[in-house]
Amino acid sequence: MTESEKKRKRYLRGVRRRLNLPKDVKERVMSDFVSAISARAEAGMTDEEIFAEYGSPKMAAADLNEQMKEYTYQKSPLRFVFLTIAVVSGGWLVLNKLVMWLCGAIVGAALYPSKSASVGIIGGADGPTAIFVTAKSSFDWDVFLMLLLLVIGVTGFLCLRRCKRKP
Amino acid sequence: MEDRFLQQLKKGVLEMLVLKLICAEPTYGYALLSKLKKRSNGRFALKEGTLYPILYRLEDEGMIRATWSQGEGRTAPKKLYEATETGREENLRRQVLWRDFEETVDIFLEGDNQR
Repeated sequence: MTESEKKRKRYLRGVRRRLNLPKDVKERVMSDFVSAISARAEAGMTDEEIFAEYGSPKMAAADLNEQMKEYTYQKSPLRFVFLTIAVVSGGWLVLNKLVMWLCGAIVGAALYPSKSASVGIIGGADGPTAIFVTAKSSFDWDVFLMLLLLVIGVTGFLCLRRCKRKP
Repeated sequence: MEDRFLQQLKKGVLEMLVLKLICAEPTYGYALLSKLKKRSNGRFALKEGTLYPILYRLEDEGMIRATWSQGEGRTAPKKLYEATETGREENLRRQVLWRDFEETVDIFLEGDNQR
């Protein structure tokens, strides 16, 4: 690959990365853009002159995004609903579980400095009571639900930041 | 900032003019920009991003098609737009519509000038 071809490839990569267009439209635009640069080069322009005409990749992409506004992605206002779900569920997880776990760990460590297995033993280690006290459901349905809501909230928010415009 | 009225007028006719140029001969996007600018004495000095939506609309409606022309020697291939049969018929239809529209507007404007 010649130096000129490498420069062009780098420039085009910079423009492509910054185009805020759906994939199919982006491919079309890039194919036309590549063709336009080749045509200018054939007409006698140097790479420097061509890049100066378009500006930096950032400027060229901004120009194209502005002129092709009808095709660019738009942000849906619904994304704030999902953001709220994510914040509320995330906040619940932090406050209810993490803080409570920390408090429990601190209190437990302060009251029972030896291993925590002894906390569960009430009424004798060899009696059925001990089994009753230490047997506990290990699955937190509320944590699972909040984690699920958090994932849905974050995913919905990110997806709704890039919606195709209606024709 | 270009006059808003002039912008609206251009918006209305550009697609027709682009289709006419492509019907006259297969052409590249860059060449279309040059032809539009030259034949309009600079009145239609478009940017690439303004031309592309016009081309894509015409292509999606089946009036033009894009092909890649293999360059000679070391020249890179370029995207060539050519008119389809549908495009040629539509080109003629739009030109008839335009003449009719132009006449109607002229009648209005003449009427005002005579007052």
